[in-house]
Amino acid sequence: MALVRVISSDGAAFLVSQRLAKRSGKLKTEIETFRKSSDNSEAQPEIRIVTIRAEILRLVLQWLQQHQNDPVLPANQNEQDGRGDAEMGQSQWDRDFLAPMDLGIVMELILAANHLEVKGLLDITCKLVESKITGRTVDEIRTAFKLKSDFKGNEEEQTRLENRWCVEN
Amino acid sequence: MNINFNRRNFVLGHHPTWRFQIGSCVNEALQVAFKHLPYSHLRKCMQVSKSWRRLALEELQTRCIIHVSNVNHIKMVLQKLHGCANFRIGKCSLVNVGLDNVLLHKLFFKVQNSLHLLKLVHLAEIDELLLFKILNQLPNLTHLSVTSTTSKAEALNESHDHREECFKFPLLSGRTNAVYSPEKYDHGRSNMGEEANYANCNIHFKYKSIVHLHLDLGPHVAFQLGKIFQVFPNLIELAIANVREETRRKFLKSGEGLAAQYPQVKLKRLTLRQYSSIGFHEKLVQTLMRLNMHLEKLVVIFHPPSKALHSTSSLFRQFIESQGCSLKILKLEQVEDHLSLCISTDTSGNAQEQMMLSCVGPGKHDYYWDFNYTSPSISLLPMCLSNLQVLHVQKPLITNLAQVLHHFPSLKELSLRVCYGSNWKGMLPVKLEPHEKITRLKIDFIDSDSFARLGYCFPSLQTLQLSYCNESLFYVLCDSIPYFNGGGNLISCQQCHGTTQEFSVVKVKGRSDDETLNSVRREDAGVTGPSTNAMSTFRNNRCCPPMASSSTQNSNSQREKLLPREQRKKNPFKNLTLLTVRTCDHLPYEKFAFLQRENHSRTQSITFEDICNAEIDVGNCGEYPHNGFSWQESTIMDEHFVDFPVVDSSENESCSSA
Repeated sequence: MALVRVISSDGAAFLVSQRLAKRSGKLKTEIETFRKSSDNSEAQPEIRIVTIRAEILRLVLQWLQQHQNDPVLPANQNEQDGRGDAEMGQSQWDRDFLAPMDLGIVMELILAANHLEVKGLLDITCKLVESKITGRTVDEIRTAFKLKSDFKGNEEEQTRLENRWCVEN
Repeated sequence: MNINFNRRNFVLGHHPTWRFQIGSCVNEALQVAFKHLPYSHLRKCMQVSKSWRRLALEELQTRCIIHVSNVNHIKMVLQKLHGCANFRIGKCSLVNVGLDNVLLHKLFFKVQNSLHLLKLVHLAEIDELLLFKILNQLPNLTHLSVTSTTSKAEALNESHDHREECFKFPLLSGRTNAVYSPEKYDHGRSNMGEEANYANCNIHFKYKSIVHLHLDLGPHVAFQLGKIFQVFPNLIELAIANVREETRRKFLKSGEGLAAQYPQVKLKRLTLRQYSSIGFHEKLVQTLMRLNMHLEKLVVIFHPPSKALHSTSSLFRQFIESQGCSLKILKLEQVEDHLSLCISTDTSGNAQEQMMLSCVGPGKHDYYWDFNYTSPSISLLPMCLSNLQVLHVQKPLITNLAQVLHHFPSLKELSLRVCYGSNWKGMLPVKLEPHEKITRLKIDFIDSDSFARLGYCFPSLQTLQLSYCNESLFYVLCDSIPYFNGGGNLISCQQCHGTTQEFSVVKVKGRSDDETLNSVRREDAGVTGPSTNAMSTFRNNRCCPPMASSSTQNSNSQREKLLPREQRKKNPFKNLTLLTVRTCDHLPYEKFAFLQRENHSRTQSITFEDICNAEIDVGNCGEYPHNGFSWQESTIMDEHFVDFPVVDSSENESCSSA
């Protein structure tokens, strides 16, 4: 089985099958580039991901492994409405996968999924963020994200009115 | 644990292995997450904190939509753009604004980096060259919609289905109403130089969605498609018309470099002149297969069998099967001097359009693709179409009905037609598994043997239309469907061709089959007088010379053999509410007393005498004159059914005397 060596920003190496790695758009491109540039077709590709640390990369690979038999979603799917099919496609495993994570890790996962072009993971993580916002007031959102309002005076009201004339499609 | 997302290098997380620094990445993560949030959520996020406001605003501004319907709006938008440096517009809708307006060009110049959707709604035709200039200004445009309407009210009404503007690729002016002809073809070729110039302008549109271009591609489809794909590399949906013959190799070559595997291609209607000028052969079928059309309705009309190729037949089968689940209506017919392949991808449920499509007749409408094609020498069926609901087929294209029913589990309407002089003997095998979903059935030239089994094959049958039924079949009808001769109302009776009659009998609402059956039996036993007793009149007439021919007697004896008494008692057509029978020329109508009896009822039916005196009007029957099959869809029975309060007076008399 052809393998590829994926190295995180902190130097941890992960050996994964090329089939699994190619489910990430970024890794797929990297592997193909390596194949074109390399004379030795048997050589093992080595890809260094400088923006993702080992723990997050491990989680991404773990998610990819779980969903290795899912159909690959095109990158531009549902781009127009800005939402993926995460709600429909989110499995119990996905929910269990995300449940113990802190919001910070989810944020890093969003970035990693975005960087590695793993649309399914990006969808479910963004959906998680969306779920923290849906149906909540502004104060409740602040509580959920542990933030404090830094607006002064009537800035908040002005903000609300600023884009009032923009109409939702 | 308190989290401050605005603080850099903050340690977050309680799991020992999940400790990481977040401050530097949270804004980027939020930026990505915000792209997936709906508009209302973003507005809420803007009020959370200043950093969230900034991020949400960035995202929101790319989604800003402006609706411009006059010049003042443009001025306001320009003022807004001038006053707010960060303000960007993602979507723009222009309703009836002149494209030559200077302010509009200024607006496009301002928003050229952010605008990705442009919708133009005009009351009149749009100057294509001006539009082309505007598109040239907007390099980041991904969605373009160009529509035109006939009134301002329609233009302002967003939900209205606008009429599509007919543009010719690549937006050449002066060819909006071009109709294919050799001269036009030459004209088109001369214009190809201009097209090449456009293609060489390094215009690289990023259209991904519907591009409302009505393409007159001419005969060189592959070449033209190749051009289109060069200019619109991300195209996923394209409306084209008039696709002519093409080789598979060329088409595949033209599709190279596409972001989408194959574009979704919608075929548009043709004009009548186009309809009559397109040639057909196998290569076009191959091209159509590659176009991945996902048709909803497909009508193929063949010539009678001649020198057809086996390969073509299988190719057609592949083409039809390749439509998969989307195909709901399939009509395979054979005519003598017209052949056409009618294709529609309409899924909007437009009633008018559907109706027009269902009335397929040469020269009547412009929805057809006309191909010179002879019918295959082997049967097209069976083929696997899991979602097919309506099937119209003629005998040469089908060999065994059992196979057909097995492969079409969702079938609701079945029309089986045969050529004159043929019948369905052998088509309906003795052991035919019941198909529960079929509610409508039209059948031609069925023999009495097959009909006797029909009710058990289609237990849910509600509407039955029998064409060209003969005398022996009439006897079976009287036995199998009680209300046909006893308790039903004649709702229509008309003359079709020569002495051919068509009459429809509907079941009286509220009356059970047993009640009807008992009524008929009582009549049959001579309870009521002969003048109002339909069955006995029928039998008397049948025994009178010259009606009592040897063939009639044979039919009677055959009837006894065909339908066992137990089966007849079960009344297999219990769900049948409407029966329409078209009789043959040689049938002695006067034998069937119920036609005369209807004259005494209070229904507004036409009697047999009226028909005899009436003028023959073939044109009203909606048929092809050459082979007599109708394309009219069955009417919904409930309309007649509900408005039938009348119970035959003779029935009441017979009931009271009993």
